[in-house]
Amino acid sequence: MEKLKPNCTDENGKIIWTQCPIASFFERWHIMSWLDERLAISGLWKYVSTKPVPIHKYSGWYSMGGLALFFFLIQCVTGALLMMYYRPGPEAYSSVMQITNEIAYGHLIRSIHHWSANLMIVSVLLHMVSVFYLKSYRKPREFIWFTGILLMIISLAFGFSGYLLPWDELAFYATKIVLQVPEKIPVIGLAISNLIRGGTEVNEYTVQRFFTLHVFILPGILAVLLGIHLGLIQYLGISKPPHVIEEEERTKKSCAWMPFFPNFTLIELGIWLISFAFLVFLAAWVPKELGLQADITKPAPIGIHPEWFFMMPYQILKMIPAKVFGMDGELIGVGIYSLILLIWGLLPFIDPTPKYKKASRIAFWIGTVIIFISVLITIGAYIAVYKIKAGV
Amino acid sequence: MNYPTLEIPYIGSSWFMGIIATFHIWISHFAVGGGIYLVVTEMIARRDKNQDWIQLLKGQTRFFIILTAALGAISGVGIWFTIGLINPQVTSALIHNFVFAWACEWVFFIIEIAAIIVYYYTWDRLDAKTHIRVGWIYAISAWMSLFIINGILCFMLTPGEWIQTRSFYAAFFNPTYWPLLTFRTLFMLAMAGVWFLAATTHYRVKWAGKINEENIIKMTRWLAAWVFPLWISLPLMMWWFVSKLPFDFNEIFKLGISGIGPGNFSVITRMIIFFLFGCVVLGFGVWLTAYLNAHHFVRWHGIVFLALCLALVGAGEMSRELLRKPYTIGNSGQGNGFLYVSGVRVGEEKEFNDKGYLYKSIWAPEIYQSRNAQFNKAKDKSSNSNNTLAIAVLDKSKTFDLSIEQNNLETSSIVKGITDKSTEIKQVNYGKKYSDLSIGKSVFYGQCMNCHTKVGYRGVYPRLAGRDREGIRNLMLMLWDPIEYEKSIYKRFMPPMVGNEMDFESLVDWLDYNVNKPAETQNLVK
Repeated sequence: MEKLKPNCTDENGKIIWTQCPIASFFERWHIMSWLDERLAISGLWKYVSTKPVPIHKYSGWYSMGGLALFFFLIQCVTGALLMMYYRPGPEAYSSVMQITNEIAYGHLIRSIHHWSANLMIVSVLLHMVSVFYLKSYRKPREFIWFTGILLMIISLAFGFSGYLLPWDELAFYATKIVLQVPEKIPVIGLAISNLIRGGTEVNEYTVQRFFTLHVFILPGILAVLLGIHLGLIQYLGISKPPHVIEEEERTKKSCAWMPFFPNFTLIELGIWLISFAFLVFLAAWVPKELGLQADITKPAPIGIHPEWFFMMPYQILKMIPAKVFGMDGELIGVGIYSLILLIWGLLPFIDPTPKYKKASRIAFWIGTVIIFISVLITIGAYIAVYKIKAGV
Repeated sequence: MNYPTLEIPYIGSSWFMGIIATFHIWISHFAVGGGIYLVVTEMIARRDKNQDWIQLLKGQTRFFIILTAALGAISGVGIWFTIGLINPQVTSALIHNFVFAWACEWVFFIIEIAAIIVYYYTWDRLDAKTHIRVGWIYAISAWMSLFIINGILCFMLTPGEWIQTRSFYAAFFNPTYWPLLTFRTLFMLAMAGVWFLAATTHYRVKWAGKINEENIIKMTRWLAAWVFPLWISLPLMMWWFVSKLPFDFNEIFKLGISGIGPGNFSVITRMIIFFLFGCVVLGFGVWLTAYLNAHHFVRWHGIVFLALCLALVGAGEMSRELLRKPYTIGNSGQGNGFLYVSGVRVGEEKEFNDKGYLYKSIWAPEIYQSRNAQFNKAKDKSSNSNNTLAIAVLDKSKTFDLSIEQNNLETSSIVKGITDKSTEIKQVNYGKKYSDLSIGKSVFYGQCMNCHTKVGYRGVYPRLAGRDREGIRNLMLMLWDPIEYEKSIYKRFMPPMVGNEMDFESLVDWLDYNVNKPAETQNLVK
């Protein structure tokens, strides 16, 4: 059995990583040998205990992806618990009412599920932004970037499909608004929207459809994509930022690193624990309440809007006039943020290697502008909603 | 109601108090636990002759003295200012009982401050033995201040036999005194560990190269070993405290298990869940990162753990305060209530209901008696008499409302008093009852605003939105009518509304007026 190396230092005598007491405990009691004889895990043990995680100023950002995964696991567990009482279709609202107001700890599980969903999307977005700025999309990691973009879209789809399930007023009208967007796609738009809705209007069949999407189809797709995403990371290794690579080339020395297990794993576990505590705090402090039951005959309440992660496309549609050069304004809006997504997805081709400094700068500014405008428009969208509700 | 009401918009006086008090607890708990930590760690450092640790301790002491002596003192005085403003009745009751205890506490404060100043400035001047003794003087005097204040805080929740005997010692050594003293001592030690963990990560960066990093790692591990068992044991300590409560804690905890609807009072359950969970997370989190992976325990780890620790303080204190509802002194156990949150003493409800809420108010006896007489007279005459609202417009920007019957409008001393060149009286017919909006306002301010705001935290107006006057009246009846109150779901955490019929109808009118603003007054009265 491969023994862990003891305290490892770099040439300046600075300790890079220390042997973890857990590993010592495992070795002293021959636990790993016992497991290896039965499960043949020595290969895995050797891999994780020597897989390098670079140590530099931005190492903290390596945890973002793991955090998104953690929140997804929370979603799976809390989602499974909620599924024990949730009934899609005509009884959707009453089942959520039952969960929130009758079932022991139902409101807590539901609140955790709600906040974990939001934090998962926040983690995914932060992870994506950090990968962008650390240039981890460059060759040979293009497919990690592509699968990551798809995972982000799937996460947003999770948020979208799950939002309707309580079948309250907010959920109903927000879904109705968001589903008006794909209708603008030429030729196939209406068909797509009808397919998603299960008809020409959002109704109780839409709830059942979204439920299947939320608990079966999307998790299946995500599992496959995640497997590819993580598999490629294991195969290609954890990337280093450009300045670290330049330093290595200049000094002809490898940067400091720590083993994935146990050191990086312990850092991840600590972050997961703290994030879990933060999640429970949010669920306890701001529980997810249930609004009035959706009534498809009533007009939309003033100031209705989608969730925060769809506010940017929603506001773009509102900002564009009805007709632009004779073309449908909403169609142009759909085109704009589709183009934004496309450019974002093609960044590995715009900036494939560190050799092309100009391309690197172009990619940097494109991405920064996209991020900045997205944040700005989202804030502007909320200001607009506030003004509408305040009657200003 | 003999004191003016301090109105804090949106957050309310309860949160105003909560923010200042929680801030003080962050500092004061660190002051007690940190003192013990510093002297114990110094003893270890001196025993091992570890000069790097001595250096680190000097840095930690500097951080400690600045934070605790300065901010602790300011926030402590801040609490005095605050409680005098937001709830003078309970402040008066506490001072009358515990002035001697507080005087003792202030003696210990003086010893504390003197000791910590000597401790900090004499690291290199006193011999080790004397310096450690000074440290112990600080630690013991700091703990003694906890010993004293704990009695007063616990008294507010569990006055115990003091209700019957009025004995100082019964009040001080009340049923939850010893459990909470133990709990708080452990909590302070645990909290100090987290504070110093965060500080040590800073010194690790600041003194990189000047101190052997292995010794910093060793201190990080020592702090983690200090913190971990304490945080894990805190939930267990809570069980001792809960077992000493003279009411059924499970009953309160269950209030929030099965729902978060209005009137459920689920916040206490949620805060307790977060507190218990957070303690375990903090303990294991520190063990996993600061103990098992000390080398990679960096500054932001320390800050995040500290933020969680401070949030747990807030959650714990909020839970403790909520357990006391509907009392400020007392609890819901049989015969254990003394003073309601509305400032009314238990047992005085009937007197207020017979004579009126303001009958004892030294600032309004004549006006109040006269209004009572008018109310009874008008009530006898007709049940459909209109109330006339007189609105005095002092200038373009300021208005206030009076409610004066039509007949008395010109002769009323109140109107005469304010009428001058800049005043214009507008008359608007309002409502069907013969009440007084200004009395309704006084009742609202005096009895409701200790816990509620108008439109902010636990805002009353949004909660009543959609109800007409009758709906509002029916809801208020659940708090005013003794029979309805006994059956009401709000009884667990809201005091009964006290006052005679005029007070009640005036309050209903006041609420209806603000929730449903009559059209004629929309642009006139603020």
